[in-house]
Parts: sequence; structure tokens; C-alpha cells
Amino acid sequence: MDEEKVRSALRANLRYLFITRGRPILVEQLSALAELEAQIAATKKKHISRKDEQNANKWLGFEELCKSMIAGMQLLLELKNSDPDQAWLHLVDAQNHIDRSNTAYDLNEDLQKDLVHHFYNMEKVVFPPQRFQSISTTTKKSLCSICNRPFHECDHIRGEPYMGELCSETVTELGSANHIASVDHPADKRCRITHTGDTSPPKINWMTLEEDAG
Amino acid sequence: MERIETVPSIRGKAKDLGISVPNAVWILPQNFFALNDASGVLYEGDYELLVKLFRINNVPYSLIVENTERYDKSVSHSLELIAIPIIVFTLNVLRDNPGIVSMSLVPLFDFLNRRSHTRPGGRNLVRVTVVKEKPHDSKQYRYEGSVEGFPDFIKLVQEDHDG
Repeated sequence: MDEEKVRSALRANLRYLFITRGRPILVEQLSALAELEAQIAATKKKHISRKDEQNANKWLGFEELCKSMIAGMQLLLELKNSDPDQAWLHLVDAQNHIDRSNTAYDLNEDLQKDLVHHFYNMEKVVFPPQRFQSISTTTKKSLCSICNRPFHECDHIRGEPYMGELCSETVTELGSANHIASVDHPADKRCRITHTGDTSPPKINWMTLEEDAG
Repeated sequence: MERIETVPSIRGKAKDLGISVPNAVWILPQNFFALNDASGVLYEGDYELLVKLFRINNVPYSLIVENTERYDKSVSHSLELIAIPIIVFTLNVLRDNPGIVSMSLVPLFDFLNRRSHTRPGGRNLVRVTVVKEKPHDSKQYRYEGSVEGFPDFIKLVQEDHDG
């Protein structure tokens, strides 16, 4: 797949990432992006099979950028569906994917930086301030996603790219729960307070301030 | 923000715990000074990051227990503050390798600097605790601030010979 075509296709899509865009247009762009993502993934796979790590990581960067835009489109569609809780999940996905794109490869592309700020600004302007929670536990065993060895034994660093894949740590044996903390900048923004009120329904939805029966 | 203070002798605490001070950069858990015995060692979630950076960059290092079967793997409470354990430069390692401070901390800075580029809104904060062992006590340097300010902290730790 031609790199310049991918760059211009991704750049062109930025103009659709606004809440004022019409639903049919967003749906159409979402479908186009899904197709583009498949083509990017196929190109990345080709570089992996050639053991060309630099290009594999570069295409991983494009892939994550594309995923970020897809999540951004889904975020807008959920807002149009009046479902801010689902929209929030897509926002977090969009932020995580653009973060991964930047970590995977510096594409020398303003779009990478623009999207970081775009989704950060959306969080601040579109959504009310959130209250986050973070859990602390002890872990006994975990494995590296790249080499499948115990995580502390190998030299792969969590979040770094290796041959078109970002290293992650898979916990295989949890220890004990330590504590839960309220935090301003959590590692996982999905861990947030969604409702307030008594333990029995109805509760107040933090996003809408409306009563939820469940 | 940088804070420098004198702390009790690392060697004395190690002796109380029945462990010996290594001839290497010592990676200690944040709860080291509160430990009553070595079985209570609880490393922070990102201790492996430091271990791996040191290993990759040929920095001689040692953990308080080599077979760390029990360590804190807490989800970092703050996305921007990596839970890095205490980095201790022992007397021996400082004497044998005068460049050890920058050799150890520069790769950490490089890593944090690379990662910080994706953090908007001032979320590129670093919190690091470094201890330099002195003949009779130890000097602790704490840094909490932006990634950009971290090189000045490295310089401060590197060049502070008289405390």
C-alpha cells in the first residue's frame, strides 16, 4: 500500500471529527476508515513477514492512528445517539490508540500531535469533569506479550514497539488487593464513577444528571 | 521541584535487615526505610522498567532480593507518574565508576522524554528518588517535575560531591 496515499487519506479524515458533522457522513467515513485499517494491517503484516522491523513499526503507527480516528467517529456517533457513557469509552480508546501510535513510530506527521490535542480537548470541553478510581493489587506472575517469558526476565519494555507489536504485560497470577484510590489522572480512564446517589435505584447518571433506573 | 535531605545510613538499615550492600546501583523499594524484615519487600509496579533500562544500557544493578516473587504491581495511580523505586548509588559504585549517575539516569530520562510527547496538558510529570551513600549517612535527592527539568536534576546529583 502506498504510504503517501495513507497519509493523505488519514489527514483528510480529520475534517470529519466534529460533532456538527451529519450522521450519514460519519457512518460513511467510519466504513471507509475500517477498510483503510484493513489495508494498513495487511501492509504491516507484509513487513513483519520480511522481518523489516522499522517499517513494521511505522505501519503499526499508521494502524494505531487509523484506529484512533475510528474510535473518534464512534465517539461522535454515540453522542448523536445520546449515549455519553458509551461515547466516553470510545474517547478513551481514541486517546489510547493515538498514544500508541506516537509510541510506535514518529511518523513525522502533524496529525499524530493534532489528534492527541483534539481528543484531549474533547475530553475537557464535551464531557463534564470525571472522578476516577484506581485499584492497587500485588501480582505474583506475569508474562511478556512479545516473548511469552516471565515479564521480569526479558528485556522487552511495556508499551514499546517490537516488530509491529506493542509490548504488554499479561498478569497470570494475581496476589492480594491492596487499596482503591480516587485519582485525578488514572492509568485507565474507564475506571470512573458513573452514578451518584443511594445504593438503591434510581441513581443519578454522572454524565447526564438524569435518573437511571438500573 | 527538587528536595535534598540527609537520611539514615543505608548500610545501617541493610545491616538491621540482615542484607548486604551490593557493589552496584541498588534498586530499593519505596518502603525500604519502613521495613522491619526483608520478607516485607514490596517493589513498585514499574520496578522492572528500571531493571530493563539498566540491563539494556549495561548499568550494574542489584535488587534487594534477586528472586522477587512478591512485588507491588499496582496500576500506576497517575498516568504521568511512573512508580519508580529508589535508585541508590552506593559508596563503592560511586568510587569505582564516577560516571555512574549519568550512566544510570540518562537512559531513564531518554525513555521518559520519548513517552512524554504524547501527554498533553502538563501531564508529563516525573517523580524520582535517588540516594547517594556517604561514609556515615546518606543523601536523598527527590525530583518531582516536568521531564524537561530532569536533566538539571541529573546534573545536580552528579555534581553534588560535598554533602
